[in-house]
Order: sequence, then C-alpha cells, then structure tokens
Amino acid sequence: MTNHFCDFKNADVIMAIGSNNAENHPVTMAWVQEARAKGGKYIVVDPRFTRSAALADIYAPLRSGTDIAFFGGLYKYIMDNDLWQKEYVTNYTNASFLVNPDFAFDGATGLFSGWDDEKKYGTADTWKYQIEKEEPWDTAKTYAWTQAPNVPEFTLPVNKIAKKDPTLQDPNCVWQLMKKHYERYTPELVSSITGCPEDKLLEVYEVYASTGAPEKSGTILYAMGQTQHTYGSQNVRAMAVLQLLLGNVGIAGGGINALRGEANVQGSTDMAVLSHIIPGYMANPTAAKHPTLKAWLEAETLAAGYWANKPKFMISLLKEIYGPYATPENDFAYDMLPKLNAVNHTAIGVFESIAEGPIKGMMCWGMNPAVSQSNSTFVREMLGKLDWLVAVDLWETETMGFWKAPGADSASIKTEVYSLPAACHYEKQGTVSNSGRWIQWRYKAVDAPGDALDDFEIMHELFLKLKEKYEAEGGANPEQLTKLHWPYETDGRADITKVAQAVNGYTVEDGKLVKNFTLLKADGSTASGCWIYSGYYNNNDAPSDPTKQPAGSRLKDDPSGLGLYPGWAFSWPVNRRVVYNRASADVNGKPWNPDRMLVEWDGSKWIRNDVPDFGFQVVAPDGTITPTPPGKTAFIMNAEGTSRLFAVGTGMKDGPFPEHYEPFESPAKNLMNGGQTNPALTFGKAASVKPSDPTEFPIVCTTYRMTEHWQTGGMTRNIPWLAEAMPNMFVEMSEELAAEKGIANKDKVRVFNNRASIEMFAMVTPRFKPFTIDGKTVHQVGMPWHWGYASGNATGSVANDITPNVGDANTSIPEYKAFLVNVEKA
Amino acid sequence: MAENAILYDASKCSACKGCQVQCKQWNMMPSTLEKDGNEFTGTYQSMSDLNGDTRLLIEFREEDTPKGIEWAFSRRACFHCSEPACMDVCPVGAISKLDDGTIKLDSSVCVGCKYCTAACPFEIPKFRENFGVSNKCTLCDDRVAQGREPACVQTCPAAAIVYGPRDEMVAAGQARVEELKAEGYDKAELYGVTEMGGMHSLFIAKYGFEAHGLVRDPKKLEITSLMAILKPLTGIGVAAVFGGLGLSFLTSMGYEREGLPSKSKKGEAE
Amino acid sequence: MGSITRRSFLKLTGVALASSVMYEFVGQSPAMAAEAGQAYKLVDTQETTTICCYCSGGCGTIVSTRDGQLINIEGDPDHVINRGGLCSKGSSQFGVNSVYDDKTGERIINPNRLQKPRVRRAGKSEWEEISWEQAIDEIAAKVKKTRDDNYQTTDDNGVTVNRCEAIASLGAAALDNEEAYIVQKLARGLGITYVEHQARI
Repeated sequence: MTNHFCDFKNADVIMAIGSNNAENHPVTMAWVQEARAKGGKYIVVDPRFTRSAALADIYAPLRSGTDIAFFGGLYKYIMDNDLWQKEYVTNYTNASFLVNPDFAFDGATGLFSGWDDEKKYGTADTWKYQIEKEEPWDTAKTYAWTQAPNVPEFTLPVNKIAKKDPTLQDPNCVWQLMKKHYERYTPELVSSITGCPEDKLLEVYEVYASTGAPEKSGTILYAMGQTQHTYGSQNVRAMAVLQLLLGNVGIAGGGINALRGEANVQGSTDMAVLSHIIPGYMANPTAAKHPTLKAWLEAETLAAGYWANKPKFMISLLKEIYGPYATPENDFAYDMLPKLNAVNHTAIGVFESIAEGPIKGMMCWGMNPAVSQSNSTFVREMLGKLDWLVAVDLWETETMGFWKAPGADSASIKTEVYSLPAACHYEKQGTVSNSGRWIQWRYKAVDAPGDALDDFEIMHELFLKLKEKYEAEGGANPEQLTKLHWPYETDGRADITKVAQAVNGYTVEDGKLVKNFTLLKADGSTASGCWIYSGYYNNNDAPSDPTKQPAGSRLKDDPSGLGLYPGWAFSWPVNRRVVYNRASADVNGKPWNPDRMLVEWDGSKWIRNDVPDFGFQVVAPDGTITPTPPGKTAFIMNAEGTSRLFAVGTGMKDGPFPEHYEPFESPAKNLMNGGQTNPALTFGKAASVKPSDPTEFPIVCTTYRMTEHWQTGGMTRNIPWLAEAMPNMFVEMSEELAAEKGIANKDKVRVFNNRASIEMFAMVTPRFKPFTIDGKTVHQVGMPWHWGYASGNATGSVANDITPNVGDANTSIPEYKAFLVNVEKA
Repeated sequence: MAENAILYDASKCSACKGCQVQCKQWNMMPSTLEKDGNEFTGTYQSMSDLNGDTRLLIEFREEDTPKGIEWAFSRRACFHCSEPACMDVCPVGAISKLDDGTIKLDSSVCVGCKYCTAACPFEIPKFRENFGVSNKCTLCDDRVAQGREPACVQTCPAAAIVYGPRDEMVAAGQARVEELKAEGYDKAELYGVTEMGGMHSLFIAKYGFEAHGLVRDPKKLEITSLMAILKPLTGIGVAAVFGGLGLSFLTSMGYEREGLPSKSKKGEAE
Repeated sequence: MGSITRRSFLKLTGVALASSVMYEFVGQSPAMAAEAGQAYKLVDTQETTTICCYCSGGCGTIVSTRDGQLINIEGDPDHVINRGGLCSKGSSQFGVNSVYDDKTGERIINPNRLQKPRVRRAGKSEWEEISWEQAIDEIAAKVKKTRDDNYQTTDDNGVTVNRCEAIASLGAAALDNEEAYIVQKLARGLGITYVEHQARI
C-alpha cells in the first residue's frame, strides 16, 4: 500500500476492483463507511455480486481477467474529456519525456517493438528515453561516500537526463504515445470485452474520473483479483497509471492500496522470502548479471534518486549476514550468496523443477502448496517425488499428509515426511507488518500446547545442528553456513529481540542500534538485515524491551486529524505513512487540498504532518538546518525523479503500456489486438498445464476467499466456530446456467477441465449473471479455495486442482482468477 | 435505570459474522467438534436457524429486483421485548427482565421445559441438548454490568451494531432510515420501536421487514396468557403436572412465522 | 554459542519473559460480577496485546489469561485501526489454541493442534511420534546430505555460484518478520536458491 487503512476515510471516491474488501478485509469497512458518511462514494467492480457489492454505491460487473480493457477505457475517457490533473501529470510523471522514435505497438500482432520469439522482450531496446545530456557522479560532494576507505570499488553510474517537451505536443513524448495507444479503447469495445454494460461502465468512469480535480482524492483497493493473472503486474501498473493521471498518488485519501492476503505477507515480502530478491527489495545475485560484487553494484546502483545509495544497504546487509567474516578483502563475503541461473525459481517453477529433477528435498514453514498452488493435483504428484519433506505447522496440512490424500497410494510414495508442531501468533513474540506497512509487535500470552515450538526456535535448533555437523564432518563449502553471523541468543536461548536488532541495523564497532537507514554506510562499518525496516527497533536504552521500541509504540495522537497516527507502531520507511507525499502539494509546495495537508512549504520551511518523502532539509555537521525549497522530484525511487506513465527500460517484461490480452484460457477472442494472450506469460508450454479448450470447457471459472475462512483453510477449518460458520465447499453459479445444466441449489455437482474433476455443492444464485461478450452469452462460475482433505472439522474438494499453473509475465504469480471449466450434476 | 438497546444497521453490515463468532467466544458456546458435522444451507448462511449453542446468527436472503440484487443481511437474536412472551410462560422464573430492559435467561434456574421457545413469536430461545437448558442472548449483561458493550457490538468491524440508551438508539435508527430513503432505499424501515411493546434490539431493515425475514406486527400467541396465569405454580413439578397442557401448547402453534429462515425458501432453486 | 548438550528443548514458559510481555492488570473485584455464581470472566486476568493472524489489516487483539490459561480473546478497543472490532476470523483467534467441548462445555486445547514432532517413513501409511532431538538430527542429516551431494561451487562459465538447487524452502507469510528474515537467511546460508512463499501466489 502507498497509504494505509485509516486513510481510506479521506477519500472522495473508493474503488474496490480486484478486491472484495468487505469480505476479506472486514476492518476496511469501518473506514469506507467513514468516507461515505462524509459524502464519499464506494464503487465495487467485480465479476460477481459480493458482500462488498451489497454495500456499494455503484456495483459494476466485469468478466474475470478484463481489467486492463476497463482501465484503458477509463484513460481514454479521462483524456477525451480533459479530466486529468494537468499540473500533476506534467510535473510529477514522465508524460513530457521523449521516447525513442522507433518505439511502436502493432495492433495486428498485439506486440510492442522489440519482440523476439526466443528472448521475448529481453532484448527490446526501443522502450527508452531520448537523452539530452549525461551527468557523471560528483564524487567531491554528493557521492563523496564512494571514495571513503573500504567502500568497494565499482564503476560509478552516469546519470542520463532525458529530453522533454513540457508542452506535451511532441509526437514521441509519453503523453502523445499514451493518447495514441488508448485510442482503441472505446466504451463500446470495452463493454463488449468486459461484459460490463456500457451505461454502467460510463457511470463508474464519470464518478471515478471526478477525482482528477486537484482537491479531490480517489483511492483504489485491490488484491489478488488483479495480481493473479498472466498480466497481473500490468493490471497493477494500469491502476498506478490511472492514479497518476488523476493526481491521486501521494495524497491523503489516494494511492494504490494492495489489500494483502496474510497477516504478514507484507513483511515476508520485505524480508525477501522470494527467489528474485534479497531483503529490502534488492536483486538476488544472478550468475549472468552479478558474478561479482563489483558487477552487482554496477548493475543495481541507480544513477540518481534514493536508490543511488544502494551500495550502503547492500554492504550493510552483507555485514549482517556474515558479520566478522565479511571483510573488504573478501568483498564482504559476497561470493557466499548463492547465485541464480536462468531457470525460473518462482513457486510454479519449484514444482516444475521437481519434475525436471534437481529438487530432492523441501522445507515448508507454515505453507500448504498441496492446496494453495495452482494445478494442485500436479503439486501433490511432485511432492511424492521428493526424498524428504519437512512441514512445520500448527495443524496437519494437506501438504504434510499428501501421501494419504484421496487416491494416493502411500505404499508407493517413498518421501520421508517430518511434521513439526509450531506455535501460534500469541504463543510467541515478534513483529508483523500490515498492508499499510505498519510494523507492530505481538507479545506472547500463553505457552504453545504440548511440545510445540515457535518457528524461530525450530530454525535456530536446525541451524545449530547443521553447524555442528559441518564443523564435525566437513562437506560442501561449509563456511557458507558455519560463518553465518548468528548472535541471536540470550542466556543460551533463542531470542527474537536479537533478530529485531539485527534487522534494524547497528554500528559494527559498538553494536549500537542505528536510528534509521540514512546512517548506513557502504564501508562495512554498519550492519542491517533489511534497510527499509531501519528505525523500527532502534532504542538503545532498552534493546531487549519491545514495548520501548517504535514497533511497540501505542500513542494514539493524531494531530493532523487525517488518521496518520504517527505514534502508533512504526511505518516503513522512516515512519512515513503516505509514500510519495511530495506529490500531495503543487510545484510550489502548496497542498492540492489544504484540508488534507501532508507537507507544505510555507515560504521558508516545510510544515510536516507526515515524514517527507523527499529531501526537505540539509543538516550540517554542526547541526545547522537549512530547509530545501520545493523541487519537482516527487518520486525519489526513480532515477528520473518522476513517476512513469510509460515503463521505461524493460522493467516490465510485457510492454511499457498495459495492453489488454485474454486470459490463458478464455472463451473469447481478443477484440483489442491480434495477439490472443500475453506473449510473455510464463509456463504456458509446460506439459503439466494441460490447457482446457473453450469448445469443451466454455465456462469461465474464478476462485476466491471468504470472510469465514483463510487461505487453504488450515487455520480455519480446524476451528469449530469457523467450520460451522462456513462448513462446505461449493460452486456459485447463475440461475441461467443452473437451468441449462439441470442443477438445483444444494445439488452435488462436478466442476472439471483437463486438469481435474472436483465435486462440491452447487449454490445457485442471482448474484451470478451471465455476461454478454462480443454479442454472445458467456457463463461464469466461482468457488472458494479454502477446502481440502485434512481437517478435524471440515473437509472438501481442493479448488486449485483445476486452476492452471501458468504465470504472470513479470512475477510468475499463477492464474487463479480466470480459466475454463465445465459443470455437471454429480 | 434508563433502558438500553442494540441498534443493528443492516445497511452497514457486511455479514462478516464477527458478532456470531464473538458471541460464542465470549459466552463460551461450542460448535460441533464432529468432522463434517455441519449442514450446507445453500446460501452463505451458516446454519438454517439458531440452535442451543448459537445465540446469534447472521442470515442471508437475496432477491433479484429491477433495481438490482437486494442481498438482505439480518442479525437474528433475541429482540428483548418489553412484553416478553418467554418470560410470561417460564414456569420456574428463569427468565427475568433487568432494569435496562434486557431479558435474561438464567441457565442455572432453567429446567429445560422449552415453553419459552414455543411461546416466543420468533422462536428465539433454543434448547441445549447436552446441557438440558434453554439458551438465548443475554445482551452480555455481564459485560454491561462492567460498563462494557455487548461482545457483538464491540466486535463489529463496521460499527453496524451499536448499543446505548434506547431513546437515542430509536432516534438514530429513525434518522438512518430517512437517510436510506433519501439514497433510494424506499422500503427501509426501523423494526422494534413498537413491536412487542417495544424491543431492546432494534433493526434497520434496508429493504423492508419482509426482505430481512422480520415478522411484521408480531403478536403473542393466545395460549401464552393462559400459561402466564398458571405460572404461580412454579417448580420442577410444573412441567410434569401440566405436561398435557404444555404439549397442547407446543402443538397449538398454527401461527405461520413468515420469514423465519427455517421456513424460508430463499436460496432454493425455483 | 553454547554446546548442543545443554539444549533440552524444554519450552520457555511465557511468564518468565515478563519484561517482553505487556501486561495490564484488570482490576475489577469479584464483587462486581454481574451475577452471583457467575463471575465476570475477566476478573483477575492478565491482558497481553497481539495482532490478528489472518488478513493484513493488523487489527489489535487482547488476549486475557489467568495463571497462564487462556480465558478470552477480543478486539483491542484502544487500537487505532480496528477500535475493538474483529470479524469472524479475528473473533475466532481463541480457537487457534483452545475450543469448548460441545459435550461438556469445558475449555480444552484444540484437538486439531499438533503437539509432537512426527515422521512418516517411506512407504508407510501412518505417522510415528519422535523426539525433537531425533527430528532435528535426522532433518539436519538429510539437509546436509542433499546439499553435499548436489552442491555447485562454480557454473559452466566459471562464475562462483555457491548454490544448492536440490532443496526448496517454502514459507511463510504466517511467520513474524524476524522469523521471515531468519528463514531466508538460513536457506541462503545453505546455498538454497528456491526460496519462495505465499507472496508469489
């Protein structure tokens, strides 16, 4: 989230699209209702009439997987009707930047310039700015730190300044390219693709576009309805571009707000429990691009903006990981970080790599891929090919018990499976980060039952045992493990507060916690496990007492009245509640809306309700403060200092502008361009996918979650109150489809495609309606994915048995939201 | 002591069932531990009606109208009537009216005769098989006595259930109904102002009483007053002595309680 | 770092960590209970704050205990995000640890909770319980053997890669931040490249 939960009350219009926020994040509704009480409008766009839709001012249906068509149509509406926030777009986006004249999009093929059948867009070289001039780093002043002793040597980047046309008239400027690109997205065509009636579409467009007025704010709530598509990243970009057009990013009541699915999925992402990154959103080294520390620094250090400081964060991370073993002489132990090859290592790839051979063992920490991973029948088959599996959880999960799944022959499954009992959240302590980036401490209230231990204790014991074995027996590169810096004990016991201190960061010499990441250095004198968290646990007066740390703070003051609550918990980065908040004020530093002031230049200094997301003052070594007058750099994480309507470079692997493609499995032809599906999607050719053809499987199916359960149901189907609250697996379908198939409510039905056939109850409801797509009736059904075979209280079919294991072009997040099935009475 | 009341606003309820579960949590009510031991209602509703271990149930009714889908959520629990039929018929005095209007069922006194269930125009009190007593909402009088809100009120994430002095709740409910009408919900109305002598659990029915399964103009069963006359003969024996009468009472219910979920056809296929 | 032999795997007791636990004593006396014989549930309880384990709202939650036993879990009225509210899942957090027996009404540990390390041997159809010592020892031995048998120091281009492609580490968004940091540190410290979790799905 760019903003946070309490901020929703500041919105004039709230659009939930790809999020069923009332059901899956019920706490949001209090804040949505506060906005509504002040006259705000709540729009819900969803394929089905949800509990959110029931509370909405406007509900618009949309066929699953057609969001980009919807957003593209909205851009065109905004541009055609001159509703964009002109000063914002001109100054805070790259609208005026000139793009390489060879950049093009071909509607006949649906391809952007630079496509290669083998390398996809990997070698596309036209998605670039025209360069005005080049500025080398000033190593005497701003970048003097690169010359300090022990800072690793690397070729310093050169800042390339783009050519611009502030009048936005140049045919190669981003603004003109964008207008041209979305010329095709007419309301008629968008309606025909999405199935949203044209009048409803225009009603939503009109209300949402009203937030383009400078003083108005509009916010978008989204979730996996956007990300779980083969173009999920482009869906997210599409929302970002919309918000930039309307000047809604960086303001109170605005932003792009991902309602993330798990209590700490924000934090676990920040901590980089992902194959492509290391903590703090830095690139995990690859053999091809980052063979050495020097190569990593050269490839990853941005030529301008805040990411120019990346070497400081990287060296500090290496110092945390390897401690005294990390020295300037050994490049701070950089070689010890495992380097990736070109194979896709994402979650889908894990199971493909079991099929292909390399993976022999697996550790699952509170994860249940036998239910949560797409094409889960294939997943369970692959689990049976492992030599060993360790599963740590509170309950017996379907993954842990895959060898006794319905139809499994346990005698033929040779996998040795360890089931380790873990503690729940109030049986241990540590922090969690909510979707609004607030890091909050959870304290221990009771002991875990029986012999259950918390995950950290288990990891700690496993580490000590491995270290013991490597020290005693030797083995492959033992130092990689044995030299890990592991000072996480107090009095011989695992101590999570020690980990918090390491994550926050400290100066190596005296072990004192650093105040925040601005004090981290690239010379090895500081250590920090995750630079963006620096400041969350920084009180040197009480390092073992979380109640005295920022993450444990519970001050309820809200001086601005905007719900910022600066003394409640700690919001990364540096306790900033609304990121990009420079954009909440005009180029002269005056807020677009004085009632929602986050920062304001009063002529001599910045008045601050929030922590500024820009350089607002310079503090001299003697403590003298010099305020920095307003500049136009509102997006400091981009080298060019602006946000991007056009995704420059190949940061996006499937095009600089979001373009509509049909889902991997779709009943419809792509009416927007000549390419049917996203050409850059991943795993489309994997044999395990077993595509399902619309002639045999004409019904669109989507999967989702419900209030009463959570994820694979491990946590909730084992709690009798919740098992009772929503006991059974079901498929929702329209009365029209039910009539066609001779299905009555509560009948047992089969939902099937080439991947599997699963049985469940039918829930026949007018809340589902057939869509009219390209003049033809298209049915859509939907089912929750909370059920499985392992539970003491409620069991049911695994929805993901029928979802396709194809991935988004950029992230390889699987397609859970739009695929094809057929339905029959069981 | 001033009378208090709950005000439930179906137009703000997201039917998350937080109240339903927190009611069980606070009041230590179990759900079955049996594997796959729960019914499928054909809707998002957890079970077809309240039961001995469930004092509060969120109900779901849906209607396809020219104005769009009307998905009516309802909070089904004791209304705490000013003229409580259940109290009239309880032979052992287990049901009492507290000063603030709360109708309390004391399970330590209850003998499990089920008369209260039969007499209630809404069939709210339910029998707990494993404990041999009746059960219903007490408005968390234990919390209220400590100056705290009932559990369902505190836990509602959307503040769709509030609690306070009854006159204020009535005024707030009426104001909200007017707002809803102005927004185009022309059938919106407030339930409980006069029903059964006035209720201590008010209900803003976004789509009108019927759409939310509320009994319009509910009445005490005639036999209720006969039972009330016989009440001075209290004690365990009463159920045996008047067993025959009790049986006829239980079977005399010709009264069609329209809209009760167990009898509703909503959610069924045509 | 101490030797392994002093490790008992005996668990810490929560109250021993008093300095790290926020306790607020609830001061009501039993005399204030609403009804004779039915004391107000939260008399003489300790309150510990936590954050709900389900969606990412970060809702404040108060856990009430007496003598280390779970008594009640409800929303934290002082919390600025949820202001005392909790949805059905949040309201069920009590059930993660304890449930009420539908036959007796007694609070019991949720019978679905795993309480012992177990192993399912190759080809077998049942679990067998093992000790923590044995479980950790066997797992460490398996991790080490798989790693040692499949380790790659350099790739075909001679680049130092120091990786083990034969093990995957999955999870988890259900971990605390500090645990999430450690899970990837431990995995990468073994050279594991397949480090993934729920954020990818």
